[in-house]
Amino acid sequence: MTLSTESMDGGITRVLLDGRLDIQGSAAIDLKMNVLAGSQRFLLLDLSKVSFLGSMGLRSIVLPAQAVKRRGGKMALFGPVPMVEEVLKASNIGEIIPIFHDLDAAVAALS
Amino acid sequence: MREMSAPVHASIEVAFSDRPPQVVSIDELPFLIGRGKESGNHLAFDDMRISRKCAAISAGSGGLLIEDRGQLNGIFVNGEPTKEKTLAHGDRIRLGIDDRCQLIFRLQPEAHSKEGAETKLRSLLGTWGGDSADELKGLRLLLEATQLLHSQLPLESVLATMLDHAIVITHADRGMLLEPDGSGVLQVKVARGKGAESLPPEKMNPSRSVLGRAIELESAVINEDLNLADLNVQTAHSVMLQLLRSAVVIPLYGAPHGQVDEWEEAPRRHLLGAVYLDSKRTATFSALDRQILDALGSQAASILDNARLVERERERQRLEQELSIAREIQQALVPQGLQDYPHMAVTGIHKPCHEVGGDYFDVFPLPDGRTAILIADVAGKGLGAALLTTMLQGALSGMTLGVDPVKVFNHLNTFLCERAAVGRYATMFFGLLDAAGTLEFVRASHPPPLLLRRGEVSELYSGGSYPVGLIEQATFKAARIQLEPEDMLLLYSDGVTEALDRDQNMFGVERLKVVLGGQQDLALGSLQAGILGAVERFVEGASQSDDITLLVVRYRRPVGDADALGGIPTPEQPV
Repeated sequence: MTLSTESMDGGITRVLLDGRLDIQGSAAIDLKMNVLAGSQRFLLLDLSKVSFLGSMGLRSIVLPAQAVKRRGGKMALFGPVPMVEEVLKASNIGEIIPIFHDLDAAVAALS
Repeated sequence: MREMSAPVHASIEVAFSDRPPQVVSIDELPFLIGRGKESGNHLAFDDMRISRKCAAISAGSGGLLIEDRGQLNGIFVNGEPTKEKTLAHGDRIRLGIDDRCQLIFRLQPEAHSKEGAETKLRSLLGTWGGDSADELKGLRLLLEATQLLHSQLPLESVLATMLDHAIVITHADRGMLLEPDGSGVLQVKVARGKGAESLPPEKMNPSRSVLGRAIELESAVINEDLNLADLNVQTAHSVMLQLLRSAVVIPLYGAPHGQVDEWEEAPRRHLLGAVYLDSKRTATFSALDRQILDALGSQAASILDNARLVERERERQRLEQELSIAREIQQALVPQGLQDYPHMAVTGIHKPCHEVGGDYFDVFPLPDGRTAILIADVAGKGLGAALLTTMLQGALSGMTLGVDPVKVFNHLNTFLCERAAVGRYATMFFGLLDAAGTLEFVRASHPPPLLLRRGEVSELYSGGSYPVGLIEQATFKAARIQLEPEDMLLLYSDGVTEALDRDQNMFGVERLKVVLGGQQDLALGSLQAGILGAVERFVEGASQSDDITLLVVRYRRPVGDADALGGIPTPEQPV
């Protein structure tokens, strides 16, 4: 599991996750995600390279999203593969953090 | 070599093939062996083959030696006729010519106590003479002893003994062992003074400049009178604090673990720490042989390396122990021997994975005659997940008092979200089945149970729901469905559908539906076994990475209120 970031226009930070977001995967990104949530206002979480989302992985997405929201920022999810999107929808996370498959729409939602 | 001053832990194993085995410790020297106790024998036989005065074990220059004191036909050590011989561990002593009369000499690794182990170390330290050859021998002995004693001695005291030893060899006043902390700065871990005195590590103030130089040079550095001219003002300050001590620093490097690719550049040696020795007297260390320092360094590095390996192994064992506690908790929660009810039959199984997941199921009657059916999966694995399952069970048991399940779910959610440090949440399905076949259920992001009706499989619900304990704003609501007689419900955890084969393919819900389809008439136990078998065939021996939990329920038929309320559970009728 790897995490990399890139800055986009409009003060948006795109966070690219790559790998399986299982227990090990979430342990690997938790600290970095928390740092990002505590320092950035607009996070675009790119899930297109995440092949698996487990319960601990879900937590690694939801807790930073809530932290960002508390600080007046926003997080959006981009490009989950069907398996990952299924997990997000089954746990109603889509109602808390918007999911996009169109990058422009995701950026627009954050701006 | 001096004679051993400390008691040696040795014993004699009586290994007569025609007598019960017996081990006698050698507590007194000379140790007399013979027939009867009258002659003052410490090991006394009631055996005519043994002479009254047979043999004696006493201290010799090279350890313990045995001498013939008049045994008929003599004594034999390892088959050799012997008058007097120094004994080694495992030596076989035959008394006389009868092959059955055998003794075995044993040197104990050490008594199983810290004190005993330390005494052994001290006695080894005490065997050194004054010259460097003896010192090196002493070092080797110490290392061997350390390896022997790893499992019994607290690691810190092994390291302290190592320092005491270095102090003796170098005639230093103090010795310190430093290890790098998280940010790589060397910190004093153990500090000792002369005469095995323990010093508080936090009060030590080793010269950073000398340490720095030794690490830079990757070699032992002797610093006589700490030449002030060499040092800048800042470093000189710490030297002043040392009252102008002279010092020796030996950096410790680990042996490379694993293979090194010869084409790659030689990796930088792994710094384990450093031994720092100092003295208030100048010129204390000037006569020290470089060879001795190198030997001291490599032995100390080996001891430290081994000590840390042992520490990691202990940590691994601790984790294993934690897992076994988690497993016990989980097993204790899962209901043993599910009972059937007049209106429903039920069976369930829970197969924990190695790390122990957070699966849990339960079936229990409510005062209003309904039967509660519950499956939960706590996020994560190990002791944390197991502990949260116990909490869930406690909270859910409140429902047996007639509390509304929706309220319990909402309460649990708030409770866990307010205690975010718990860091765990759960998916759950909670159903209440009454005698008329009405199933009221509350769901919390749990995979939908599969409904098998007249051979057809469907999911009990679609769409999402919040798990319990992840989102503070989450609310839960109850839904209802009417079951028909012989309807079956399969509740499962995601360990079933997410079971992976060797190519990382998931078993998936579609395969589960296929296994279940058309099995309306199968007995519940057989159905459950069939599902487990299908999963096992699918994974083909790949290791199970999550708990697997199945709960199968068959709604039998409407039952009168009286039956359901007071009804004695009956075994499932064969169909």
